[in-house]
Amino acid sequence: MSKDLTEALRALTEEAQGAAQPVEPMKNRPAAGAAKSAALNNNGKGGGSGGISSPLTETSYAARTWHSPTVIVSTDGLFSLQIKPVKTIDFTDATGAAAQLVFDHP
Amino acid sequence: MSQGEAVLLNEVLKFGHPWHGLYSIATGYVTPPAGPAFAIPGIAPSGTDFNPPGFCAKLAKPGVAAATNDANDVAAGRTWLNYALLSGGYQRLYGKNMGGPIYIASDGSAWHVDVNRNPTSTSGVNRLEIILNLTNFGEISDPAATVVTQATTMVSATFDAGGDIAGAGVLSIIEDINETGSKFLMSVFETVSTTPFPFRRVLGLFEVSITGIPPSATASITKLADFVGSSSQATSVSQTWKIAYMDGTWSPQYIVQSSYNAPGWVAINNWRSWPTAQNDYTEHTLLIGARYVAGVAQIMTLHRKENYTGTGDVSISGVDVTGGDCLWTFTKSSTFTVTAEIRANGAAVLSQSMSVTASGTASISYKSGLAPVTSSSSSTIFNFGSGSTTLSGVESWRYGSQAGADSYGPLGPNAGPNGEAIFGAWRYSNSVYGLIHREYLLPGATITNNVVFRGVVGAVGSESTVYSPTLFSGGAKYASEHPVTGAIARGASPVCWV
Repeated sequence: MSKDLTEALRALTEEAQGAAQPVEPMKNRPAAGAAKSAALNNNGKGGGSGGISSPLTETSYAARTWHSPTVIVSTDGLFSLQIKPVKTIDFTDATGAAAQLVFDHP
Repeated sequence: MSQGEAVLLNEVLKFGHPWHGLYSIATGYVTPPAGPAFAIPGIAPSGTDFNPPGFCAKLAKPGVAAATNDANDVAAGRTWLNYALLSGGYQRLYGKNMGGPIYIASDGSAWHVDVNRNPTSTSGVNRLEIILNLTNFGEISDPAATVVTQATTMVSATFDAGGDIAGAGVLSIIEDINETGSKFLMSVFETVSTTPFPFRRVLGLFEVSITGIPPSATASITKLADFVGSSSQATSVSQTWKIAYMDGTWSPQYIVQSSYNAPGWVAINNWRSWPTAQNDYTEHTLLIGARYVAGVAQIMTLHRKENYTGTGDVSISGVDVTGGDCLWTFTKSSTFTVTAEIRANGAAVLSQSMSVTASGTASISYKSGLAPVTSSSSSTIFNFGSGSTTLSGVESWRYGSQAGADSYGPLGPNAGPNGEAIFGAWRYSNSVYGLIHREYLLPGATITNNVVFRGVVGAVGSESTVYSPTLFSGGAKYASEHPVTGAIARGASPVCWV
């Protein structure tokens, strides 16, 4: 009885700690092929499975969002160039997953 | 420009027109303050004798930070400035002729000013009419900035040109512009193509002011000076005469007389006369233009005066009362001086003078007739800017007869070959003025139209290079002053800071 009880407690404790069945040793990966890609550090924030596959394709220009307009002035102060700094650009990666660039206000 | 502002991922460091320096029409190149010369981009500054290509005015938007130039800029001949320059007689900016000012309103907005001017006359009253069209300037955006144009109500100012200008072919140009374009100076003049140099007869000078922010700006015009109001002439003559005569007792005597209207000598009956002191003084003032100095309008005038001074005496010796004869000995010295000044608001800013002196003696027997017994004379000619020359025996005693008696006139410049003086003022640019002087030639030489260009003054600087006598057409009649550094460049072909 005591053995059964002890065994039951151990089993409950391991289950509570998330212990799984013994993990098989990791197999060696083959060398990755050369490819260009953007590496985004999701740091565990959303983004699905944790990777972005190149290429990134802008979803829609019209989907861009903008900061409030700002003005660039020539050195002599005479000419003013008004721009609206980009705030976000939406992309779709090679797997169809969504990605977004977020820019600070210049 | 505020550094650090970005266009997408690129950071804009400098933006504008960095092609500044001294432009020479002879080469077509601009020499920058540092770095290699480069071909002038766009339209080059241009102008005429009466609307000089050397015009250069600073255009500055208040509060713009200073610009810097790095090694790459210098290597490429670029000069970034925190102000602009309006260059040439038609106000070139960024390689284009603006044909007028750029007005910086109080909110910092820039406006191109199209100046519609009309010197006109109604019922003998002359006036300059002005209508300004102000259009927003320098805005780059997508979609394009809305064009805003405001026409100001016509304003006018009357002026006295000494006559009706109707049909006189008068012209009107922009004389100078202040740093924000809120004020500018205009002239009305007529051109006179004379030898050795042409000149313009300025009939009126005006200041135009713009206030407010378009499309609610207003304009006004004020007459600063006109032909009649500024062209004054004052003459005063002071003469003292020593008059020698013999009366019925054949005893020579003298009387001393001052006469404003003395003709120079008096010879009545047996009298001989000689001026012992004489001073002829003539001066007059001419309008030559207007300019800004530190934002203050200055009326530019040419002030000329001619001064003749003479001293002399007469002595009597060898009196032979019985025979009715004696020896009269005259001495004489005279100086003729011409002085010219350029004045800004009445204060001299440039002065030059030229003088000729002469002296001599002569003796004559009362009964000997018309010719002196002995005479000698010399003349010293002080040329403008090139020292002096002393000549002997070139002056002649002048004599004539009146009522049967001899009369001896002044010895010296008025009687010699140097009786003419020509001084003129030349407007080299909106800010640079100088004197032109017809070079005196030696007696007997063929008179040519050589003129000397020397001594110019600008709103900021001055330049005093002595130039050899040169025909006007080939002389250094072009100049331009940098409105910030004060550097004045001169040349026989147009030069202009850009």
